[in-house]
Amino acid sequence: MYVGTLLISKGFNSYLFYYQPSQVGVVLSSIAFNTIVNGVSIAPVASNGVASLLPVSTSSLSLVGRLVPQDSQQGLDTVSAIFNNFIHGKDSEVMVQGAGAGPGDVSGPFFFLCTLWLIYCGALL
Amino acid sequence: MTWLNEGIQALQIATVLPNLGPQGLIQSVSLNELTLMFSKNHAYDPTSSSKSTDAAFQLPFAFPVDIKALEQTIIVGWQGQDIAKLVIPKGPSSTDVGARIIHLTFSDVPFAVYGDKHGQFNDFVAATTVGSTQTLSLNGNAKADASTAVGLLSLSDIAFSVDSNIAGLQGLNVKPVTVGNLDVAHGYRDYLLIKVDGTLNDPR
Repeated sequence: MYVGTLLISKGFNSYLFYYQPSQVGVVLSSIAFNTIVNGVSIAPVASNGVASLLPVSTSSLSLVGRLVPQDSQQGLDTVSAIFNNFIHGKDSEVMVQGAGAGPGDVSGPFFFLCTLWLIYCGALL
Repeated sequence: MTWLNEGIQALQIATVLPNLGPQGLIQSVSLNELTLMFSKNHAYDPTSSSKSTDAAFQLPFAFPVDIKALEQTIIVGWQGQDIAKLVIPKGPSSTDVGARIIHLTFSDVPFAVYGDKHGQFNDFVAATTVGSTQTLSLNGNAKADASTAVGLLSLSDIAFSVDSNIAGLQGLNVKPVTVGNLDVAHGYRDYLLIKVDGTLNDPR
């Protein structure tokens, strides 16, 4: 899957638009990412509720997160550069790295079977 | 579901944080107090100081931003022409975080009039001395140290273009000049030495 654009509105709510080319869909109770620029992790984000990665379609994924405090000068320079780009009407390149999926405490056959069933239905359609 | 977690952690997607066009940050600048110290050698670059200047700003982020230090280069214009340049070095500022107003002061900054604009500067000083309110245009750019929850960020090249009003002296005629304590102190062969107290009222 590849990503179109990561949008920022007020604060740090964002939407990930992605195209899912596979014929297998996945529904996750949650999915989390880390936003990394120049090797500095600036913002962990997670999906706002259930994440549906539907097959062969473009979906939007609502993400909520925060900008983390930076201790190093490199971290502060990186976040400053992003703010300066934004203020001057320029785009910033970021890298979104997967951090985890599903609720932290869920494991086991029930959730797994529900997900498999949904995928099976998705594949049939 | 360890296998799913590990699979997700292998995802690395390069993407873009899109912009929303250039953001005009500084909305107004109020020169609440301005002192110009003229001297014979510095007639066209008097030393300027301000005990109170406010700059109102807006940011497209909802979180609080405290501007701790500000450095600016301002080109002062009057009646449609740029007449002088003010280079204010980096100095501490205090910010009303809720209202988003920066309070700053500066001292001993040369109000450097352009070589070919001496005539206009003369007119400006005359207009400010006898008139009531003069409008100056202030264009330039600024650099700010912004304290946020992330840490101290450095914002640079913040362009601004605003108008600012300054109150004139109105010829010091708002209240009549008072003269008192007339004392004919001493008589000389050619003249009399007279001492007198005069009060001139600044309308502000």
